Order: sequence, then C-alpha cells, then structure tokens
Amino acid sequence: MKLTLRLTLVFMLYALALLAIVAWLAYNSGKESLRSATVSELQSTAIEKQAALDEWVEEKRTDISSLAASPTTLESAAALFAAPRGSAEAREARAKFVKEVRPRVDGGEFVVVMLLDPSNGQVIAATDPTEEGKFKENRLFFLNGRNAPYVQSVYYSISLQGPAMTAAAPVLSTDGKLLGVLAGRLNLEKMNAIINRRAGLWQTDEAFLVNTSNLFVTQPRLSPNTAVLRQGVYSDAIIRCQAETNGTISALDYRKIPALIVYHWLPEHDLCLIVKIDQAEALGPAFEFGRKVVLISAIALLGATVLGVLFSRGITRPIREMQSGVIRFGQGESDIRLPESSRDELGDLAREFNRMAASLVEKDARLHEYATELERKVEERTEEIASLSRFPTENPNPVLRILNNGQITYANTASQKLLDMWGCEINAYLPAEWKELIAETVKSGSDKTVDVPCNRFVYSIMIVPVSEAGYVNLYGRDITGRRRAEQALFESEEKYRLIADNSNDWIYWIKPDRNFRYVSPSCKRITGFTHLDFMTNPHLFTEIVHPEDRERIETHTEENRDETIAEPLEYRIITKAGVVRWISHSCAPLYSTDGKSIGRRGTNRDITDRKRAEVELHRTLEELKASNTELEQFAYVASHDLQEPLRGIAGLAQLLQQRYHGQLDSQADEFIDLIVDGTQRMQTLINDLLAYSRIGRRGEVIQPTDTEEALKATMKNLDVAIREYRARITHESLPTVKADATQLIQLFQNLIGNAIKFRSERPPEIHIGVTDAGDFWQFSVHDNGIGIEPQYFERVFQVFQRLHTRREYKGTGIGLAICKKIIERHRGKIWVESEPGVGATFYFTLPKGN
Amino acid sequence: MTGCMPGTTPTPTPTHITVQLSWTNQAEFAGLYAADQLGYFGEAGLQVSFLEGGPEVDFITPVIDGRALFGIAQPADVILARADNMPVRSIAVIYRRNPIVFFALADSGISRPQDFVGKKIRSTFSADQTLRAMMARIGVNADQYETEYLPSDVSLFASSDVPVWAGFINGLALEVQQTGYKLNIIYPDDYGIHFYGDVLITSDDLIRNDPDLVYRFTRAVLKGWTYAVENPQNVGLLIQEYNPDVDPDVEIDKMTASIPFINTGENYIGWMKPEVWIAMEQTLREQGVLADTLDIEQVYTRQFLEEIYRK
Repeated sequence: MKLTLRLTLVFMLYALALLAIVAWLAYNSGKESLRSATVSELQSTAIEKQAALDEWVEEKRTDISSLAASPTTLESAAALFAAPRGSAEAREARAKFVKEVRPRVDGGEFVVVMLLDPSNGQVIAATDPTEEGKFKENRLFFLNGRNAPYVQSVYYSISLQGPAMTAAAPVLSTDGKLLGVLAGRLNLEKMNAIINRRAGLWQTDEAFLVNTSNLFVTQPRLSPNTAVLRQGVYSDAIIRCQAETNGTISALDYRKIPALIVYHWLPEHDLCLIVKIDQAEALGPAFEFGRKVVLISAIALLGATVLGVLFSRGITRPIREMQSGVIRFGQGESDIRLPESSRDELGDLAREFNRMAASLVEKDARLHEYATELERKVEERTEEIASLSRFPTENPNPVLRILNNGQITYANTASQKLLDMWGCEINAYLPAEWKELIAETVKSGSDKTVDVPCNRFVYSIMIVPVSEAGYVNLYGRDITGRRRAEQALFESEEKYRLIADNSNDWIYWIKPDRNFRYVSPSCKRITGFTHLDFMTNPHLFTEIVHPEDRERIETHTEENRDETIAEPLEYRIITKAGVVRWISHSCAPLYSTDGKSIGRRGTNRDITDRKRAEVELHRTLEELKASNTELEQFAYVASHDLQEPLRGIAGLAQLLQQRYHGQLDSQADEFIDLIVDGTQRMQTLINDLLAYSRIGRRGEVIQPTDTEEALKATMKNLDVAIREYRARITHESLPTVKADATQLIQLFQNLIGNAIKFRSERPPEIHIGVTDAGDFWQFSVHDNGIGIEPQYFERVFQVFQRLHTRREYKGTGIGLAICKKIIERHRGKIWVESEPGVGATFYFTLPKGN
Repeated sequence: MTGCMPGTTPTPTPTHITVQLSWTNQAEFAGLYAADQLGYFGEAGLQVSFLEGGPEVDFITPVIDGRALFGIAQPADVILARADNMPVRSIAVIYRRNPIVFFALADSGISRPQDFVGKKIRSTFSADQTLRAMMARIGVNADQYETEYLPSDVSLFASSDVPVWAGFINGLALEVQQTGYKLNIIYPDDYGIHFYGDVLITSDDLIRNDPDLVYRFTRAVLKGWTYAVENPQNVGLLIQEYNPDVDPDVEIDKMTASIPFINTGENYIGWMKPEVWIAMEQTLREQGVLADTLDIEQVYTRQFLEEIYRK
C-alpha cells in the first residue's frame, strides 16, 4: 500500500474513532436524560391516576353509605320487608323505594340501585325491574355489605357479560337491626375517564387497568378491538406488576411495540395500573440528535481526510525524488548521488545511501578480481580432467570402445594383443564373428562376458552396451593365471574322485540346487541304480527310500541342510531289483574356502547284514526270556503241587517204618528205610526248588540295607555250626547297599554255610571283605576250605549241580543257584575264584545304598 | 429397548388414549386441541383421539367401561353418577363458572325462570341438572314444564315450537345472537346455581392403577387451556382440524367469550374448590334430584392438581 494512502487512512480512522466516541457519549447521555424525564412524567401520571381512582371509590363508598342511612330509605325498606311478598302493600312499598332512590341513578351516581334480602341475597326491589327476583347471595358486595359499607372492585359479571363494580351498605333500623342490604352498581365510565384522561402533548401515551386474570379492565386507547375482560395480556410489565410490585421497564407492550412502561400494583383494588408511551416517541428527540451527530461527524471526517492527503503528500515528495535516484543507480549510473541538504531523517537516509553506493562501486571492482581468479582455476581443472582421461590408456587391462556397427573407436595400449589377434587397428571393423557378438549383446541390452584365448593368454572380456550412446565398451582382464589354477584343481579333483569311485560306500556330493555334483559308482552295488541315474534324476535318492521311512528322510534333508549330523541315520531302501536293504546314512554341509555353502556330502553304507543279525539276536533274546519265565512258572507250580502227595507218601512211609520195623524180613526193613530216605530227599529237593523259584516271585522291597546287620543276623542263624566246627569269621567294615534284607541274609547264609560245609582238615577261617566298584560295592567271602576245580567255576551256580556225592556232603546243590538268582535280582554279578586244596573266594557286587 | 444417543431421552411408544367429549368438536374443547396439536400430549408420551358427544350421548359410561380413559362432563352428572355407584371422579375443572344459560326471543315475554312454567324447554344431558336445580330454587316442580332434547342447530331454534333453549353462553347462545336474533338470557348464576361448567373426569380404576398417566394427561390438558386462554386468536384454525365445518372466526369469538369462565382471576386454571362441590351436592339434594347425602370426597380429587401446581 502506498505511503500516501496509508497516512491518509490513519488520519481518517483516528478522526473516525474520536468522533464515534464523542458522538456515542453525547447521544447516550441525551437519550438517558430524555428517558428519565419521560419516566418521571409517566410515574407522576400513574400516581395522579391512582389517587383519582382511590378518591372516586371512596366517594362511592360514602354515597351508598349515606343513602343507606337516610331516613327515607330506611322507612321504605322497613315497609317493604314488613309487607307479605306479592301483596299490594309490597308493590306499593317497592314503588316508594324506587322513587326514593331513582334520583341517584338519574344523577349518574349509580347505574342501578337494589335492595337485597339480607337472609338469602334475593333482590327485593331495584331501579331496574329485571334484577328483581335474582339472587346475589354469593357476591362479595352482599356478603361484606351486610356488615359495613363496601365497594367490590372490578369483577366479571356473568349477566352483564362485562366488568362491574358494586358498592353496598347495610340498612339498619334505629335499634340497629339489619333490615336489608342496599347495593348500587357503579358507572364504570367514570373510572374509564380517570384512567384514560390525558394531559401531555404525547401521541402514543396510554393508560389502562389489568386484573389478576390478565384481562383488560379498561379499554386500552390504542387497541382497535374491544378488549375489556375479553383480551388477555401477558406482557413483561403485567407479569411483574402481578407480583405486586411497582416499577418501570423498557419492553414490548401488548401490541409487541417497544415502549417505556410504568406499572403500579393497586392493592386496594387487586388491579394493575399501566401507564406507557412508545419508545419511538418518548426518545424521538434523542434519535433526531443522533442523526445530526452522524451528519456532523461525516463532514468532520471528510475535512480530516483532505488534510491527511495534503500532509502525507508533503512527506512523500522528497521520498519519491530519492526513489528516482535509486532507480537510476540500479540501472547502472554508478556515479549518481542523492542530495544530502536536508537535516532530517530523509537527509540521513540520503547520506547513508551515498555511502552505500560508494561501497558498492568498490565491491564491484573486487568482484572483477575474483572472476579472473576463477578463470585460472577453471584452466587448472581442465588440465586435471585431461590427465584423468588418460586413465583408460594407462590401464594394464584391455579397454576398447566399439560402435554398434563393429567399428573400433578407442583401444588402449593394453588392447594391442587383441587388436593383433583380430588383425585390426583403431577405426577399423571387428571380424565378422565379433560383429555378430556385439550385435547380440546390444540386442539383449545386458552385459555379456566371454573368455577369449589369445596366443598364450586368456582374456575375460566383458561387453557392456551403452545403448543410448550407440556403442559398447569392452573391459578385458588377463585370466591366464586363474585358468592354470583351475586346471590344477581339476587334476586334483580327479585324484579324489578316483578314491571315491573305488569306495565301498555309496558317496555323493549334492549341490545347493539339489542336483548331484558327484555320486560314486558304488551306488549301483547297493541300490541297483547307476550313478548316472542319480545325476539325471536327483529325486531318485528319496524315491527309493522305503515308504515307511520316506517321510523321516525327507524331513531330514529339508531341515538339516546346514547341520552336521553326528549320529548316522538308519533307513531302508528298495533296490532296483525290489529288495529291501538297510542303509546307514551320514552327511555334512560343505563350504568353499570363502565360506559359501557348496552343498552337502553324504555317505551311505549298506548295513543290511548287520541289521539282519541284530534282528535275529533280538528275536532269540525274546524267546529265551519267554522260555525262562515259562520254566520258572513250571518249576514253581510243579514243586508246589508235588509237595502235597509227597507229604502223604513220606508220612505213610515213616508210619510203616515205626510200626513194622523188625517184623518183616531185613530186606523189607532196608527197602522201607530207602523209601523214607528217598521221600525226605525229595521233600528237601522240592523245598529247595520252591525257595529258588520264590526269589524272583516273592522278593521283598529293595531298599537301603546295612550289610553288617545282615551279617550279624546270618551269624546268629549259623551259631550252632560255627561253634561246632570252631569256625573263625572276620570282616571289614561293611557298607549300606540297596537290597532285599531277607535275601541278603539268605545270601550270606549260603556262602558262609558253604565255607563251613566244605572245610578242609583245618578249622574254617572265613573273611568277608569289600571294595568300591563305582556304582556298586564288590564283596568277597574268602575261606580256607577244599576249594573248587577251575572247570567247575560256572557249574557250581547251576541248579542241583553237585560236585560231590551226597555221602560226602549233604545238600541238594541249590544254594549257589539261589545266591546267583538273588544277585541277579539286584542287578549284580557273582563269580568264584579258587585254588583246590587252598580255599575259595566268592565275589559278588551289590548297588550302593546311599 | 434403551436409548443410545447421548443426551437424548428414549422416546417410548406413545400410549394411545381416547377422550370422550360432551359435545361436538368446537371451541368448548379448545384447550384439548391445543394440547394435541402443539405437542403437549406427545411430550407426555400420549397419542390422543377424541370421541364426539352430542345431545343424546351418554358420556359418563364410556369412561367407566373403558371405551375412553378420560371424559368431559358436567359436575352434576358426576355427582349423580357417583350416587348411582358409578366409579367416576373429577380431576380438574375447565369452566369454573357455568356457561350454561337459558334463552328465548326478546319479544317472547320470557325473561325469568318463573316464565318457563307450562313451556317446552330444549335441554341437553348436561343442562338437565342445572335446569332442574334452578327451577327447584324458585319453587317450580319438574312436572310444571316439559323438556325436549334437540340438536345444537341455530335454524331449529327459529323453526321449532320450543320457546326456551338451554345452551352455552359462549356456544349456541352466541351463535344465535350472531345470526341476528335479539334474546332474553336467563343466567342460572342469578338464581343461586353456581355450578362448575365442564370438568375433566376419569375412572377410579385408572387413578388407582396408573396415576402417572392421569397426571401426565391432566398436566398436558391444563397447558393446552393456558395456551388457548392466552392466544384465543389462534384457536380457530386448531378447531377446524377436527371439524372442517366450523367458521374459525366464530370459534375465536366463542373462545374469547369463554376466557372469564376459565380464567376467573382467582387461583390457577383448572383448580377446584371443595366449597363449590359441597354447594353443588347440597343444591342437588335440596332440589330432590339427589335422594341421599353423598360423601363429596368421592366425587373429585385434587391430588393431580396439587402435584401439577406444586411443581
């Protein structure tokens, strides 16, 4: 926005604000004083009307009271009440009464005058004959007028269908007896005149009365309709007034026009007096004043605007001159300077500008110097770029640029060998096969690398098409050394292949893409398929797996691709010939020297024979177990069932021996003795067999048991024998073992018992020792008895195997078999070492008890 | 069902109720129409329909037998119904001054009740009690005059051989005058009959079983009447909604004429005073219409008015 305009606007707005405030204050103060003057006038009007109304009502009370007290009224009333109803006397008395009171009606004091029967309120006589015979028994003027003069305020008269006011007074005889009630209906025109009386010069002033039913009691002057006791009015002023308060408000009146309203509650009459005037009229002068103020303000504003324009132009002229100087300077007239004559801010500005202009000229010169410097630097940089461009030339690898049509446009020094081979020079065309190759590469749009043997050398040449430029770049690399290394590697690989090829196991190398890189020919021996079958169909590997194992093998190859499998996996295959074979498979991932995965190697070994043996072994073992169990069962049942008849035979044999010994011949005695002996032996045998079979069947709980306690119990049991043969028994400190205590005692009893039984000439010396054997304790029972021949070391532990005749040593030969069975139940071992004639040592192991 | 919109109260399905009117649709019931059309019934959860009455319609029985839940009746009807052990009760008064008048042509020589002797009088179900009480008050027995029920028809007034007509001062009497006839009007009020006009009635059953419904209905009706009293100029079109034959201007005149009967300037619209009921019962008894003393407490209840105006 231009400065001139801005300054002018500021002036104008300031003037406008000032004028608005002043005008508003003046207008409001004028309006307020006008309003309060008007309100005062309305209020005095209201007070005056209220006083006039009170005075009028009071006058009516006096009027009816004096009429009721007048002797003539009294006289005619007395006559009227004395005469019988409907009689001639009564008619006469009525006429007299009417004649007496008629002047009051004619004079305008009352509209109608009535005499009422004090007992039931019936009109006995009235100036209006239609009233006679009616009942006024519930009217307030009748009820109150019986006692004292009373004026009933405006009420709705049903028969008049309009407002009415009635004054009443008692008619009392000279002795104070109530003869009747005199009532006079008031002429409301008087009241209307009081309320509607107007004094001022206003056009819209108005006064009226409203009753507690919100109905007009006097006709509002400005209402076009008949409103009295017909129209309801519910304006704010009426509502406030009915709360029995006085006051003033500016509000909408019953016509919905803004008005100044004064309301007075008249408690004597239960009425509301409203005095009001339209606001438009009451505040008219204020509104006029307001309009004038606006006009004057507009003129003042115009003046202020003109002054503003002139003033701002005075300020902006030198600024415009300076602006023109600055523009010329900007267009290149660098010697232009602004006049510095003025001493004000503009002068300062000119001086500052001149200083700035001088400084600019100087900076311009310096800029020129910089430009020269920059040119020099550009030259240097150009030289640098030229040097860089020699890079490909100096590259030891061949670098060439060939146009798409095969013309060589550039070749560095290192390309000479290639150029020689092709028999080309720069700008010449490549041989036909190379042209073709270039065209192919350009067509494909992607890089291509080819190996090119060139005399003793091999180059790897990368052809890079630059399609938008219409040529290709060739980047060569001497790969002669690498090729030699690869050859050496190939030879080395061949060596190893030879080893693998001749391996008995089926060896393979599978690549990460799941194709076989190598399969040893031995696969044919195991599977019936050749290594070529596997190479061409990698799935064959899983296809030949037995259907029951296939899922396991598939999971294995899927999940363990990067893991080394420690345990060989065993599975079955079905060979080409349809035979099932067992394979032990192991595999491991393979990595190149730079750590990349290059697949897995695997070894499959044919273990069919071993598997077959294992199965056979397992089957035999199972059979053995079953047979053993069966046997035990049989032994138990047999011995148990044999006992019963045997006991019978033994009993009878002994009876025979006792009763008939010496009565038969000597041979018979011998036979009987043999029978008794035989049955006794058989009983012993059966008992031993039962004891033996009970070991596994009726064993007690295996729990930590003190060996020393068991030994003590044993020695107590063997007490008789020990004493008899003066046996000496020693032992080391014995540990706690996990054992069936009863069977442990049985064990010791058999071993020690044997040691005593098979004693030599010397008194028996028995030692029980113990050593630590890991999870077990190893016990030894050593004696100095007759000893055992080494060929019997195993046999002594078999059931009923005796080394001696019954005559030499008693017993069935089951003791050590029982010992063996006890030890086996405890998962231990028992064996014997002996030197005949020196002694024997029985060893056994039992699990540790802690 | 519960409401889901925040800040709104659930709007239950409105209860549909019927109101038995004592006469045809016209300004006499302006407050009811206002309550209906301005939505006061709707706010109270009610959907209201009206049953028209007429000169020979019994409008008490429907309220007892349930054809209507509420009714408009004359207080004398309520007292007599109660004396016959019919369980109805007044819950509010609409016309606190009785607008029933008797009228005859100005030149007929009939200007007071005594002139009715030997004449035919057009009456209605609701005017009957007023007539009999008024006549008894001046010592005339029911066999000294004849009553006849005729429709509320201005043309019949001129053509029939019935000289005395009962009618509402703000109803038929007004219409007859507006047609151009000069009338003598006999006001029962001038002869000691200060009966209430229309009262709102319902059954004892409803008061006992659903007092909330009675409360809501009464409150809406009184709100409607307040509107009609304050805006008589608006009732013409409201009434036409229920009776297309009426002249809206005539109805406005009737309403305007009714205001002093409804809003008498004392107490509230609808308010009942025990002494008026006592006086009515006494009058009916004195005039032999009511045989035995009746407990006036059975005839009306102020419980709903008290509840409404306490709030």
